Amino acid sequence: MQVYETTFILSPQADDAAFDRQINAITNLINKFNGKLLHEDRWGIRRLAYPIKKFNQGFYTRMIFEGNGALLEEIERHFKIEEPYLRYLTVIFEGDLERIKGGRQDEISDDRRDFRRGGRDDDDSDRGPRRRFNRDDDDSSSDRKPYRRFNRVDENRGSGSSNDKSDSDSGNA
Amino acid sequence: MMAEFHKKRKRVCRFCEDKVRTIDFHNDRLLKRFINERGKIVPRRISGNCAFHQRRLTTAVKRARHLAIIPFTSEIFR
Repeated sequence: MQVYETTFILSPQADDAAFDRQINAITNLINKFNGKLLHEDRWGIRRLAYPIKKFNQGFYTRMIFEGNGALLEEIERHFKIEEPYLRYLTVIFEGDLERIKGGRQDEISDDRRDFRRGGRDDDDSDRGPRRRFNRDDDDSSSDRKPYRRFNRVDENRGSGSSNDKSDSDSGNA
Repeated sequence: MMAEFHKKRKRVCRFCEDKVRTIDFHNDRLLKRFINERGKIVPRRISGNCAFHQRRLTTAVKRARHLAIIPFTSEIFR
């Protein structure tokens, strides 16, 4: 059996009893299909990042459980049928269960500057300055120009001198 | 003079440094550091993440958006 986690948002209109009823319904389903509830985390009412069905808040619950495909189908069916679910997401659980049970969240070290605040004037910003293309342009132009000029000059001189010579020769004869 | 502009700064992936294997999509504080003001995912070239963790981060951000943990786009630009 696979370990899954499902997170769902309940409509904030319902009261505590209704929240309990919905969460218990899921728990019952898990038991019915010989699954095993490993962890349940009620976040409570939380502000939504964007309104869903014109609600700005929602009751978040996260459940980690063991189960098979039939159980998942049944849970998803329940989410679709029942009214108060605003959103739900079921994914294969990957992570450290002990860590989550301990209530700890992964944080990355914060000792460095936030890259989003990198200013142009600041020498120590993580983001470098804008790219400059001037250098490449200068190089190519300085390479090309003398080469061309040299060729043209050589050609003119060679042909010019030979013409002069032949003209003078014929005139003399 | 140009060399000063092209000073190379070695960036190490923050997730690799802390040996994070999985990125939890419920952790909005963590995810918010990798989206810009418009709610876009910050590219790897700027955040310095490695390819492995950038992929994980992208899925985490997208899952979190679905659950309204982080916004798809900022309120101001809507």
